Amino acid sequence: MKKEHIVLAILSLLLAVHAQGQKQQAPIADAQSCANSPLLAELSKASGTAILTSYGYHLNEPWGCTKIESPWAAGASLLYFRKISAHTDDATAFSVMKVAGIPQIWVIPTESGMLEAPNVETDPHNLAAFNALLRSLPKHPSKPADWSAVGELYMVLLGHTRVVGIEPQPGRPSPCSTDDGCTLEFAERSPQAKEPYTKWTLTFSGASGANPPRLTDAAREVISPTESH
Amino acid sequence: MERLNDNKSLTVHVGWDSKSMASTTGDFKFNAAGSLTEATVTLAAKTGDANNHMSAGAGYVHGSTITDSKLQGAYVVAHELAHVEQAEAPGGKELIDQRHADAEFTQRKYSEMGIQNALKNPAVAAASQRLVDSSRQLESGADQRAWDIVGQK
Repeated sequence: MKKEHIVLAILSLLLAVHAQGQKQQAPIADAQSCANSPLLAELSKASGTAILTSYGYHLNEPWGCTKIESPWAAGASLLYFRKISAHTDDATAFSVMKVAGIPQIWVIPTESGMLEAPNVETDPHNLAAFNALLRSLPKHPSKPADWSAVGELYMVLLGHTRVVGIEPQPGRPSPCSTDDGCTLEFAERSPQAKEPYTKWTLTFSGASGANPPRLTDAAREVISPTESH
Repeated sequence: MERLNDNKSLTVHVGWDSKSMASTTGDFKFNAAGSLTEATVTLAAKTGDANNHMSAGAGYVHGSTITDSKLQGAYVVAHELAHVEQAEAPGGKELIDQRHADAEFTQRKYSEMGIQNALKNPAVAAASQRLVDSSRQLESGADQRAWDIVGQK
């Protein structure tokens, strides 16, 4: 074998090992970033434990933990917990959020067993938690991409980590500016022509004077193949 | 579900739970040859009520779109039997064994070290992530299988 072939083979092997290493590291990065979160430390203390216990959650049970990161959560700590067990169909999950400058810890139950928490999108407590986060932001969303990222963050807080944005239908107003707010639509997966899908519509009001934008409404609906969205 | 129907050495016990939020499938038993011989399906009444939405975030992407209780009930039965099929399939026993080992290991480490220190341990974090990932895979698979059977065409 020629010398350059040997060098190429070694390089290929190194690249393959590097790629494999990255693949294996990626899934556990979330758990480790969660482990280093000051919020998890706070939840592990007596006061934090008491808050979770009031919701029926106990951190001595095994939970998978993911740190939720977004440019629109700067200064806040957001963690997502999902129960882990050998049994199927126990998808119990909740999110926890702490906003910079506010001592309050928000707990958002998202799933219990196989089922979504009832009215999780529209629960006033969950809307208030997210609006506390919006109030803490140093700048307001302005471009459509900003609003989309803000909406996606709310969906992730509710446990929908794989949502896709749906393009607004022609003719529907979609101002999406700092002053006018924005209406956004999301689905759990790209809508298929012949299959029903779940659609979430989030409505944000715009900033007004000293008041920051607010998430004013969130609706969940199932779109059947015969309906247009 | 023909393969389940044709398997004369497999017994599936079916129970009823009027309170739980989750229908479950478990108590898998395998013979010395590694073939599935028993499983227990417990159907929870609340999961068959379309006023209670199946969780899309957990992988019930099709199940979460059901708006009719009769269809949701049929979906849940098919979904649980799909988990029996998964256990019966090649590699099913190995996956179940791995998940039990990961769950036992994780639970023990959480109890010994607390969640924060436990998750800083790469082995615990990896076991935890394997459980999350394999759960998602199993639920998505059972969701699709159930929808193939009961979904509206």
